[in-house]
Amino acid sequence: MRKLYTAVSKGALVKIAGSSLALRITMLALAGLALYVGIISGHGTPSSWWKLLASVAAGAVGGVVARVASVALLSGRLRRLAKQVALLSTSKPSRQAAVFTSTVGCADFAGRMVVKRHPHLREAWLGDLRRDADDRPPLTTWRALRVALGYLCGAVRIRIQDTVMARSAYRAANYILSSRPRTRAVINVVLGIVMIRVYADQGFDGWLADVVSFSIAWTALDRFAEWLRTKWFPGAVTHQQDTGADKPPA
Amino acid sequence: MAQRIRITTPTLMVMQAIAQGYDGDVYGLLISQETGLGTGTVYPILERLEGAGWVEGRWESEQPSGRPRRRFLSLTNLGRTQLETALAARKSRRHMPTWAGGNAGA
Repeated sequence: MRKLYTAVSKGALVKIAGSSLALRITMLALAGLALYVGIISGHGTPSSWWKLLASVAAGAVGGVVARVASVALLSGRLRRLAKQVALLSTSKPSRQAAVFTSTVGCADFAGRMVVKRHPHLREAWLGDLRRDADDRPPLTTWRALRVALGYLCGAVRIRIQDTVMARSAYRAANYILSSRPRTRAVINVVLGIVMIRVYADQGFDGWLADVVSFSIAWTALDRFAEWLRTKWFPGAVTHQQDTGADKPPA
Repeated sequence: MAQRIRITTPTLMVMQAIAQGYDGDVYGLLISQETGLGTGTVYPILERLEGAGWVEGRWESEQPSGRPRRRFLSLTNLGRTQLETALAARKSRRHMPTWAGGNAGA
């Protein structure tokens, strides 16, 4: 029973530490409970305000203690995870151990960021971090941390792919950029509208005075679109629901 | 569901790295090291390629001791075709005459 209680409380605390929303709710609940107890015990008399303040302070301290305990437990979990992937040796100096723990923590966090739609990535990332020594030379401490930070960047980009790129605005932009004649046609239409507007407002003389500016704008837009098309714009990805078929077997 | 992916230079490098094989199983970190691209660039590309059905992944067959399994990647037939098409297109672009009279890729 005691073991069960310990396991449940540890699990709850780790979950609280892993989620800022859960942590806020827990702290608010503790403060609210303290407030409620303070009001009930004081019945609104002047002397009760001290009790009320003391109860609120106790609630805040309780929340902070809960946070510290949960972070400590999370850190312990990360250390165990680091040992599981054999990155952390107990004989290593503490600084190196801290870097290893941070590395695994980064990779683990990155994996959790994308676990909903890409459940295979977490295990794949942790597996890549600690590959066989006979296969390739093992990663150095700082190199591993750099790789794990790359996982974090990758997770953010994958999340952006999953959310932003499925939107219609992105699809429209992608459609326009997917072919050079189409991109130029859009630039021509936009600049043509502006030129007609200038002609209507300023007459032929004003329009003629702005021809050079239009030429520069056209060239700049065309070059920018070309740069987007070939270098930066990462391509169309239609949102695809994960069927769960790619989950690693237990 | 087949998806269209625009093949940028990093995408092409990743596909070529998978096709090359490096005398063994190819995984994300190996591609990152061989191509010189960061892991933050390689893995999103791999996810896109896999989503489009150009690349397929499989888990390491045996559970290794002391670490999680790796995920090995290979090009599908569709991916191989797309890679060949992209390489041919790139090659033909290089030989297109420019206004200066030379070759664009020269």
